[in-house]
Amino acid sequence: MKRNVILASLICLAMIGCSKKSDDIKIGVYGPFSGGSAPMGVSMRNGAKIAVEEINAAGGVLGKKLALVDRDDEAKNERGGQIMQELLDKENVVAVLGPANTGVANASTQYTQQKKVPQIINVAAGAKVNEFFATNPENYIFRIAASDDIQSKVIVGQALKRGAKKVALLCDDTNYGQNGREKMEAVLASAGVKPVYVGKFKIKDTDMTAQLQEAKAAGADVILAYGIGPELAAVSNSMDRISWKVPMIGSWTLSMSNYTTNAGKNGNGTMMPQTFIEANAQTPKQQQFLKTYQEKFKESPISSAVSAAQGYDSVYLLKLAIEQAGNTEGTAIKNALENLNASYEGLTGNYTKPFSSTDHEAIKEANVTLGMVQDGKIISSGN
Amino acid sequence: MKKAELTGTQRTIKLLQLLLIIIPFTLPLWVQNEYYVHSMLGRIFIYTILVVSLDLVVGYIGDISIGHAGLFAVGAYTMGILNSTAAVNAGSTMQLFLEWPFMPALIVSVIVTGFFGFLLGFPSLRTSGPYLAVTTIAYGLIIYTFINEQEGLTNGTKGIQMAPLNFFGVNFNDNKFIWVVYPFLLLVMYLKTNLSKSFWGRAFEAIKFSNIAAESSGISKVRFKLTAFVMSACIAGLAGALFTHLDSYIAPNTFSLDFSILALMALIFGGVRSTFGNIIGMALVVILPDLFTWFKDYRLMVFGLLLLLTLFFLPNGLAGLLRKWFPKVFEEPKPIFTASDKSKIEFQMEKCVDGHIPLALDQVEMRFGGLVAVNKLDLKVQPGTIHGLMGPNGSGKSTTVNVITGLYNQTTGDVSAFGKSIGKLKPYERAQLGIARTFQNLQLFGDLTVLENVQVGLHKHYKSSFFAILLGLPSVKKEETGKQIEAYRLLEFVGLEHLANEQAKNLAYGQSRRLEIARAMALSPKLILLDEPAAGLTTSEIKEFNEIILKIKSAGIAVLLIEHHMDMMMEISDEITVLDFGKKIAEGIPSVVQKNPEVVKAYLGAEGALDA
Amino acid sequence: MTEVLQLIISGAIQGMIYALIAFGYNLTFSTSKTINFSLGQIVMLGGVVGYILYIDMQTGHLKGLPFVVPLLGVLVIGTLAGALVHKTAVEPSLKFKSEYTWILATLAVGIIIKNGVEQLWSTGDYKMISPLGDEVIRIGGIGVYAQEILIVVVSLGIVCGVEMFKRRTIYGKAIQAVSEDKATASLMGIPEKFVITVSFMMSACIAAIAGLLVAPLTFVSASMGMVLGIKAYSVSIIGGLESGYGPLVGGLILGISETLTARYISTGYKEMPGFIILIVVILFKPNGLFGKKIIKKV
Repeated sequence: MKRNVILASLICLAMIGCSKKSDDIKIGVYGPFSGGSAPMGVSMRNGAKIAVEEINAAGGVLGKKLALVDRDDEAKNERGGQIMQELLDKENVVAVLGPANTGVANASTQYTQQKKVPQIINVAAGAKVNEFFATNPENYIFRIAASDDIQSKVIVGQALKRGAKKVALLCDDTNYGQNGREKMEAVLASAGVKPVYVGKFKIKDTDMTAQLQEAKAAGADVILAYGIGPELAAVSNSMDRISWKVPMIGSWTLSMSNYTTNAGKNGNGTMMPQTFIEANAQTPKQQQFLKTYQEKFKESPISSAVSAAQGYDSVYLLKLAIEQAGNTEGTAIKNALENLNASYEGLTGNYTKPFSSTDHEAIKEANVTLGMVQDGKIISSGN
Repeated sequence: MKKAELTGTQRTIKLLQLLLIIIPFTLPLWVQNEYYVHSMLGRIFIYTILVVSLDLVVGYIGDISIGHAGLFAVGAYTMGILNSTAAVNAGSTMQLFLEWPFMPALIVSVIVTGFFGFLLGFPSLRTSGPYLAVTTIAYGLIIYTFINEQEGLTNGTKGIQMAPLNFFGVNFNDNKFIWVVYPFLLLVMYLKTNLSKSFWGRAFEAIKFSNIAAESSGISKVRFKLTAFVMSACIAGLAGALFTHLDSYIAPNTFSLDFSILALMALIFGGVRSTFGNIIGMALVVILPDLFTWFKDYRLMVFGLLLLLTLFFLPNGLAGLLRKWFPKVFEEPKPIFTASDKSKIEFQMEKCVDGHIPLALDQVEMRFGGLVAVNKLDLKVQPGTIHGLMGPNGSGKSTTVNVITGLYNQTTGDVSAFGKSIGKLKPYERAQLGIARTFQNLQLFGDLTVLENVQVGLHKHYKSSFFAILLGLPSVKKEETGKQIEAYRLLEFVGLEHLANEQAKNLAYGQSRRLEIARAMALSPKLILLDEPAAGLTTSEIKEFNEIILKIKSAGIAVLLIEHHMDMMMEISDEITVLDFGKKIAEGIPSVVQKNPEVVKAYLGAEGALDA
Repeated sequence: MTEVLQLIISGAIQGMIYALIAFGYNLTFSTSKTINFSLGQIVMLGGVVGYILYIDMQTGHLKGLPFVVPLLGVLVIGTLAGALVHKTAVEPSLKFKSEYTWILATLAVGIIIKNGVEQLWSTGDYKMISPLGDEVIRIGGIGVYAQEILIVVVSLGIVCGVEMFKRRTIYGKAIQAVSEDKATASLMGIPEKFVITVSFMMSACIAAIAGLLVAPLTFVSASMGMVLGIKAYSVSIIGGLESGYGPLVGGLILGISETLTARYISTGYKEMPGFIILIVVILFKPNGLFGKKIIKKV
């Protein structure tokens, strides 16, 4: 008896597991929806959801509805690889959006490339995109996020503009932080500056006293930081603890609410490159987005507004490309993305021909503005 | 011995099994979808190799490892460093690209990881349980940190990109990857099955149940535990090395504590010590997230609940459940004995003929802190006699036995056997010299059959080499059959032959005591120590026991009998030593000792108290 | 010199937290001979519940409730969590002889707690405000938060208090009796099961309080407990699972080795010395620095 019941329920489970066919255009979304980097993943997914709902309410694409197929990669590389193959070969998605973690991207972008399915990376700044042109002239990987290249240029440029002579680098020990460190070092080297101190910290570290003391001992007059919100907040807080105050400029993640609230007053004055500044939302579209987001997800401020905005924009760019291609075939979409006729006014900027057949980065240096933390809000730093 | 005949259904099952084994080879030929074959099945196969490796340590040796992700990482990174190319890692901080071909890199990965397993084995010799668990965690984290920090060697957190796997100009990174991975899985499973069915496998289980009883059967804990850890590491290294080519990318964050836990969970889901369980457990862990998609972000919670339910309701895992439901499919053939296996002549033992004194204690003293458990004891057991050692509770009898067998090292004095000093030898070395023992508190290997328990005792007589066993050579099978018959005859000796294929834990108390004797006799000892063999037995059982002991004596084996059963002692002993508070108070032939006033006092004191 | 002193003091404070959680491990080990692998998640529960009761999540400001409210809340959640872990994971596991059943069962409960908090509360990181304020107190160039002084005082207080309780009161003696010999204790009329349950509740309460104490220093998040749990486990083993004050020494060793390594060797390697010390201790003193030596009985 017991045996039959269990067998029967197993069969049921298997049947549920088999997905039903539908006419929707399936778009894969993957990112970390649980664990430490979940704020980026969840905000990105929420942004994408809003875009998809808007598009479907307005009649969909090519007469069909868009359907998001979301998968949690838990910020684990090997899960990323597995999920990507699931999205491509089981769910048969026409395009993929995400992920947030550079390592996950590195373990999974090869599959979209192999299957000739376009992928728009909308958060991971360190993942390889244009680098793939060297080995694959038919590159299917796109990005709408300020790449580490651009961010480093902006960050270092700002530091040098402010007359910094002795630069200290402080980065987390993830793929993201270390990539950023390399890029910043490269930009500094091209300006003939050698950092006086290069330090790193781990995810979940909360006491940065040791690193800061070394930086202080080396006589640093500016700190360039690359990491994610909570740890960067710990850097600011530890600076206060050793009563040392030098300007801090760092990755866009300094705009995440888990930096601004956690650093509190210690975060004031910190600067970062930005594509979307929530407090600065001016266009009706941006304001409408914020309103919908807050109604739908009951979150204010958004835990990672930049991710949400880029998630939203990535869906729209994809929609335009599919419409232009007239079908959902991968190569056609890719070609359409590379020659997008319609221009798109997005949350993170206005895009006319965002991609070309040699450049798959939508966000150029010009799209990036410099934000500054002021009493828990991100304001435009004015230059 | 008779070969088990296959029935019709069993033949069909065999055929189906064979078919099941062959099918994966054909998949790349007719399946295009890479998700199910390359991603899912490839992943399952590689991770299963890791689970097999973990099973060796957890299932067989009985130690917990929550650090196997570290070993997996060592294999993966050795492969990465040796096999990856500078071309695909442009712009990385890695300085060394050896660009070796796949196979040599694979072999070196396995060897290097084996070395790491050797290091991990040491703490397991000293400790177990929660102490060992945290050591393995620390070990895994040390490896993780090292890989993460040594950027010049491993490219640190940014990971290593692998060049596509090419053999003879054909790319193996699609479904054909199965052809690379699957043979290794089959190989590993074949080796492990061979090992587990041999005297090595029994030695592992013996150590798991009671490493004291294992050592007393002549099994070196150090040698077998370390070998198990090294083998486990080699297999984990193999899995890691194959893993590098699964997604063609490795980075440290894969090899975290979570991954060790995942592998452990897969092992438990499937059921330990089961080849089939290993694969089904990992298959489940890999497929579950896919099935659980509709639980959305509550997936992990459901996973946790499922794990709890498995632990408590399916303690033997899914393999255990299937074994219960379909016993025919999973039944292992049991040896069937025929009349020709029975010994035609009366049982014969190796005799102690060299004329040396079988056992002599010289001024042995054993202290625990301030407590003197054995005080300057002199004792001689003459060849071919039964020597009684008696005394009230707490008089130091068991301590003396433990000193003789080497579980304790005497504080001062010396122990010699067969004319040689053995005071510094390890317990298993003493057992191999020919000192066998039984235990006051039964120390049988419960999950093994009665026959296998005796086979553990036969351990030192096995001659097959390790590699012959791994490869399952015919000579190994022949030896095993021979030893099974030998063990069967030993069971006859104690009258348990009808229970040969029963699990030892199902035996009645008196039967267990006899099995202990059979196991001790399997060593073909020249001296046997019987530690309170009659404790808890009925009068009629004691009678039978006396006969067995007298038979042992008549085979020329010296016996040291520890008892506080006066009657039994007086009846069969040739000479008796009486201890009280660790000191010898009397010695001589039974009739004289019985009348010794000090003995009477010590005993009446104790028995008088009992009566009151 | 002040720099070294600052590092040692920071390390010692960190070590106190480890010691406090480690103490929780010891308490349940002594009665049930198991390690509660979900203790790190209970630390997190303490932090999260304290945060929810004390701070308004939307604004990040104080709710205005007195600190007693989160403190009581944390004690309640600790008691519940301890009972839950014991009932659902440990008690059923003890029926099985195998060693991995309780390890995996408590791990599973930990996974459920963590995922539950992520889904029902948040995946983000939040700043807890210390009831003593966030100002740095400076003594001769060494910066210490008032919260850190509180941590040291409370940790020492709890450790000494519980040791006194175990040695001086009848209930404490019952716990010790169960830890020495379960069968005899239950023959003497000590309700063995109840004693184990109580030890789990006490252990979980201590962990939850530890969570509340560290929260202002670390941020509150669903993932805050994992690392703390593992390090405290190492501390427990270094000091000896069966020793009373061993965790304090173990905690100091681990905490100070971390800050000094981070400063003078490399931050990347800061956890290495602790783990290496752990392995060395296991190799030479398998029962920890202050553990009792157990004589095998055959």
